[in-house]
Amino acid sequence: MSLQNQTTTVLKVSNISKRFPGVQALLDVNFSLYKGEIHAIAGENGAGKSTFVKTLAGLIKKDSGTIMRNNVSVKINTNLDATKLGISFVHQDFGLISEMKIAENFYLGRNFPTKKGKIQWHITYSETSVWLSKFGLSKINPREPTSTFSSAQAQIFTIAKAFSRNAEILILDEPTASLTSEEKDILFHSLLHMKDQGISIVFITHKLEEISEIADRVTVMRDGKVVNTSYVKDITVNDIIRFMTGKEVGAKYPKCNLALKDDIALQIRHLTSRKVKNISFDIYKKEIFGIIGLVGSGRTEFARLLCGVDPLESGEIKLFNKSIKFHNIREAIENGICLVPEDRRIQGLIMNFSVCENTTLAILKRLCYGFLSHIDKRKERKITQGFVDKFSIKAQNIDQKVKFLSGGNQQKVVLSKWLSRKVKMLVLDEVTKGIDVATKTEIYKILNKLAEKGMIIIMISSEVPEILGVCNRIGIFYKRQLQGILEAKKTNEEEILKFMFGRSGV
Amino acid sequence: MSNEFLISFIRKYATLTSLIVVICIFSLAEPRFFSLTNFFNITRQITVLFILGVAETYALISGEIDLSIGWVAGLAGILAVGAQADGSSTLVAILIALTVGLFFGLCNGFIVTIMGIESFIATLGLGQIAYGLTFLYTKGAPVIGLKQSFLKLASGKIFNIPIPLLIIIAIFLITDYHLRNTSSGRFFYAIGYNAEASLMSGLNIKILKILSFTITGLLSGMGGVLVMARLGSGQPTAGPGYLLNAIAVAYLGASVFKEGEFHIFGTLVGAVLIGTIINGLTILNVQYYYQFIATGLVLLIAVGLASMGRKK
Repeated sequence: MSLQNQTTTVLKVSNISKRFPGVQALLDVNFSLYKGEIHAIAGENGAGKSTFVKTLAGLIKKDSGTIMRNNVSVKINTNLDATKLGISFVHQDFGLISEMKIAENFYLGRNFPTKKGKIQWHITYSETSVWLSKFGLSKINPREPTSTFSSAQAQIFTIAKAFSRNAEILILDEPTASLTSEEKDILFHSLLHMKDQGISIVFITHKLEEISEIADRVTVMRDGKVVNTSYVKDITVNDIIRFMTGKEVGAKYPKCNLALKDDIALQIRHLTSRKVKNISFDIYKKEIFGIIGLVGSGRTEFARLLCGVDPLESGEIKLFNKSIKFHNIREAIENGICLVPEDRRIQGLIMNFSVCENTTLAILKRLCYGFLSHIDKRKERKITQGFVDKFSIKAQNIDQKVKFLSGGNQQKVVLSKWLSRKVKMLVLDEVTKGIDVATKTEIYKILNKLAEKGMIIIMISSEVPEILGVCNRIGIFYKRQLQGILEAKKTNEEEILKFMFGRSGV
Repeated sequence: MSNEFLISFIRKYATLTSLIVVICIFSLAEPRFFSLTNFFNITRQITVLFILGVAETYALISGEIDLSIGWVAGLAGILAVGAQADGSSTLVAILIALTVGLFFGLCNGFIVTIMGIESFIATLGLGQIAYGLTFLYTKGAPVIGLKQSFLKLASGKIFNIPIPLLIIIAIFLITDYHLRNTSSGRFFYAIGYNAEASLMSGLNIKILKILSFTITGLLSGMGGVLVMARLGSGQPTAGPGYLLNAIAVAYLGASVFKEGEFHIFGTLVGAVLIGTIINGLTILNVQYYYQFIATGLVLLIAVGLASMGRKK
């Protein structure tokens, strides 16, 4: 982490404020960015991180405050203004046109025309290749469509594209949210490469361990204000959490329940589908069972199989000593098997529905009475209010649309939706993705309580510390098979990683 | 702050306000406009538009579009007239039209869900078939022979209240109740907003889509009956003209109160707005062709105002 250029300030922001209807999103934010530094921004959901970086990128218009670029006062009212000033914002969804070829995306709007206006494709392709190889993507064929990219590749591609457009300041909004740890390493490698070239990088993250891994400085935001900016080497993760929450940190992971090893709750034998092969294991009562693996290892596919989303080819599932069979999601749900899916915004919730409408979606038929099947709205509201109180879901009221809630609260609504039913087995896929630290702990506690009460909890995660902290035992998937099962107390991160990469023999 | 308030007010009430403005303008320009007689006139003129608007609203709520409603209404209406001409009672004639609408709705639903053809194409195809069948049946000529009881659906009165108004009220109450207070109504919205999350929550999407298309078809059949009753005979070309206005009415409705959310009250407001404009222009003796320009402008202005400030 050499900071030879730390004295040059490329961007200085003073007293930026922004009000949205009903909320003060930013209040007197001060921020500076040095040449060639990686500057992390941390904060809980709703702290104003995204709003802040979007004002820098011209995607949101600030109400007041000044921005200095290389000590010159500048106006950033549109994204184009920002681009002209060398500030580039990488969207979470990368802004790629998936049907178009990689090179077309790379040079979109600027592909080497001749004087007559004809695009010189050979130059476009070869130039793209040069850029890609600079960022470690030399194996990629620029003639393929961008839909062939993995998340990490798309992320790096977008960064390379920004870089090729002479960006000097790069803003990344949660770049690692959908990456596996190996993809993250590739991304970080290219960020460090850019840093060496004198590029300044601002990145928002929810994963605090990433801050110490890559950032030079960190700014913590809370309630639209900057609480602290310091060098990473001068600050601990606990300090950061304290700044974020304004509270002292308790234990991040609750204490595990004791598994009842003589009491088998779930037996899985030779489960096979097109995506996973011959999976067999048992889950004991009261334990939380973790599943981990690289992307493509079959972990998500296994969850989908277990919950009736994908069809089962062969194998047997015994739930509390009773053999069960189902052919689709509905039958799985009827059997008490529910899935908290990977993407809560697309698969878990109906964003335009209110908290109440989402909570009762899976039990609505039971809430209806009479010949006209009238929804019992009083009962519906009572059930929802119960969950809102129990899980302290933060919403203006239960009629607020879930799209206006923070990620953590949205996930709590997904949990409420299932827990309003009689659930025997809850399968959670990346349940804490993109959720702030405090809410993560709350969710772990909820899961713990459910397991204690006898519900089978299977938690799928790509974060090793989380799975080690929360689960009693961990099943590791590798190449569509169960590579092994480890006890959380008797293992460590290193051993789990070894299994994830297929090296089971100790 | 006051600016924000103004924008949110406009977005919510733009369509309703334009309706009031339109009524005021016409009333000032022509005293005959603001009278009970003319109010009944307007309800007569918008009955079919409203019913087909509601039909389209169902399809749009479920995340699909039904382009067949006008053609299906035409076929259903013509077969009802034909049945009466052959001696059927009015009740039987109506039942025939409803069955035809129901059948085409079911077919649309099956083609979209089971065969997986997009509703835009599926309903376009089936609508063309319905149109062809209409001409095959009539050989292109109008069908006559409607009885008084059939014609009364458009021109009759019960307790001095026009039957079309009663039909509008009934359809409004039933469909509004259904969409807001029953599980299937809410499920329609759910699958329209997010089919994947609905599936993951255990909803039977295919059945729900088929059900929604069937309701659309049934309402189209009913619309067909009323078109013919209003015209006094079976006109093979009477149905298709309603399609685009029905879509316009539904989208106007989606700009009432909540942007982009289809609902029956909105559809009613949309139908009244378009009906009022056409009626007012007619009373003012404005050339017929200006009606199209006026309705087009109103659609653009209302939906435009409702989406104002969305992307800022």
